[in-house]
Amino acid sequence: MKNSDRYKAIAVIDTIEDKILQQSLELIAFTGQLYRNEPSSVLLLITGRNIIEECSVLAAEYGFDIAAAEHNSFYYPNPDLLVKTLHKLQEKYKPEIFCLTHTIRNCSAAAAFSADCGMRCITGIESFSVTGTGRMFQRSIFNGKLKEEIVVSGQQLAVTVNPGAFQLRQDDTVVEREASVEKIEVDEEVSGYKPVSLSESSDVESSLEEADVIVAAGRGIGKPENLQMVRDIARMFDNAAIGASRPVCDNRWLPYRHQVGVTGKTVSPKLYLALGISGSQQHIAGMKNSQCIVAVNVDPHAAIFSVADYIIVEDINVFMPELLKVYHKKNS
Amino acid sequence: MKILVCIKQVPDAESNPEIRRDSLWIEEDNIAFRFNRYDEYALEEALLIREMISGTMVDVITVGPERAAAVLTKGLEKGADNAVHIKCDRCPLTSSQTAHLISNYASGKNYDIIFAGVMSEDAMQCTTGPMIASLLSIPCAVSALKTSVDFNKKSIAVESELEGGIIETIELSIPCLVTVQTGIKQPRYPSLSGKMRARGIKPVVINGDCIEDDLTDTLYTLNYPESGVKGLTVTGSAEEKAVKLMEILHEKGLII
Repeated sequence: MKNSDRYKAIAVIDTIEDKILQQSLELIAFTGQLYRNEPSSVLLLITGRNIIEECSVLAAEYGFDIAAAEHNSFYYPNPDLLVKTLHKLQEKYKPEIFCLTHTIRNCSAAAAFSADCGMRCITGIESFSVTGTGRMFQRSIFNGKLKEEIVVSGQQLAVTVNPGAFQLRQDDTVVEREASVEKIEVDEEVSGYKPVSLSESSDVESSLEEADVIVAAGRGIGKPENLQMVRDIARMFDNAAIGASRPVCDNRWLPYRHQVGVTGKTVSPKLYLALGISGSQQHIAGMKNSQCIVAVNVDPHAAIFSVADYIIVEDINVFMPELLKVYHKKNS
Repeated sequence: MKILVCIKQVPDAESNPEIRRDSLWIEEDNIAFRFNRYDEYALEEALLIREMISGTMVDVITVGPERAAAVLTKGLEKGADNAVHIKCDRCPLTSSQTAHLISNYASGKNYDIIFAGVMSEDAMQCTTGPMIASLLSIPCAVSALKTSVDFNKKSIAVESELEGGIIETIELSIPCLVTVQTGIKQPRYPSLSGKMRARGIKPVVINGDCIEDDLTDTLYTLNYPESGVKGLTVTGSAEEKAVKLMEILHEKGLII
């Protein structure tokens, strides 16, 4: 088996407790766009305690070769051991690009691995295009107000790709190709990193996922007393729930179970009414698939407007009483 | 214990930055700069450990131009013992450059714990902390909500937040690096005595302009997002907007 130049991309598919996280299969779409119609140039790395069977199923379904790294310490996400595994693949294949999904653990692994190898690291990729000099990767900075465009040619890269940035389509699957599954031996040397336990945060239970309408409050509400108006607006709808941006929860204005976003809940209600939310990337990733998005913000440049179907530039503490007034007038 | 906290001065997210003519950075003239929020939580974590373990010393370090000294002053006012300013006029630095500068400084200085914010609010990369750890060959946990130090075992238990609100507990051996997420413990404000004390402490200044240019083999530009606005802007007075929104919601059957 000739190893060099064999794989141009290595994509890390996420697992937790030996289950493949569906979202991370978006990397198949991402690498598919990087290397059009060349499934043989992409190797998927899957880690877990006992995952060979899952790997075979996936290889058959998508036609991608898979490297399976099994170890007891991979039952939970383990960036430390993942870096060691990536080194093994680097030694063996030296691909152009290592791709991971943009999660906090993966950023850590991509950063540590790239620092070890002196490789370039780009996290949170939203899109890419091919230019004359190489590939241009785009990512957001300044809370989505500006974009970085980074053209890379020739060097090896480690990247993380934003969830939802590349959608897996029907024709990404069913590739007529006999794919292989190889086992990667990982031995855990003495490590200062020890995952101990995994628990759901005590207040993740919430009705956000079931609600038809989410009325969400951001830092723009100014003070917790103004939440009463948010609640009153939620009462205008059937089956509505209160959502919040992270700063609102950090300020203890609402418990974390209300938080929408990457570190909170991902939601897709019929209506998402964003009140005073500027729209951090973290937040937008958690709500952009809502069927109808109405955003109210005093800042005409607020990033939330980029995903909104209806844009209202207004101080929400002026707008909320007006909306309630109109509603009550209509219903009295 | 010896603790180092990495802090960064960032442009205020509420400001609307204009891109500089060379397309590499923003025009700084009308921009307010402040303490990266995540780093405030990182410093708070360090100060709480100092309150529990006597003899602990907390140093703050930043990389940036002259103006970045303001966050060191703020750090000292909040209670840090010493401050280090790696002065570097180049903006922006890649996280790899920042990580090299900080790890070069920290190497051999016997820090037990290095704290950093989980990310900076401007660059949003989540990479500088783990890179420093990797360069110093020490273990690293990211996105901590809570830490507890076991001084005798030379270890630290970190409650770390995964996506979707799941909490993972990780044990790290000391020395180690921990990046901190916003959350449980509200960062303190500087006290009056803290402000007085800070006046007497001069940050150590180190020249960081010698760092190699990381971007030479890469084309790097800043851009405005395509006016991604596809939605309909509702216009009029506040009342008119409210009336129009109500009509829209009604038409779409979202409200009765």
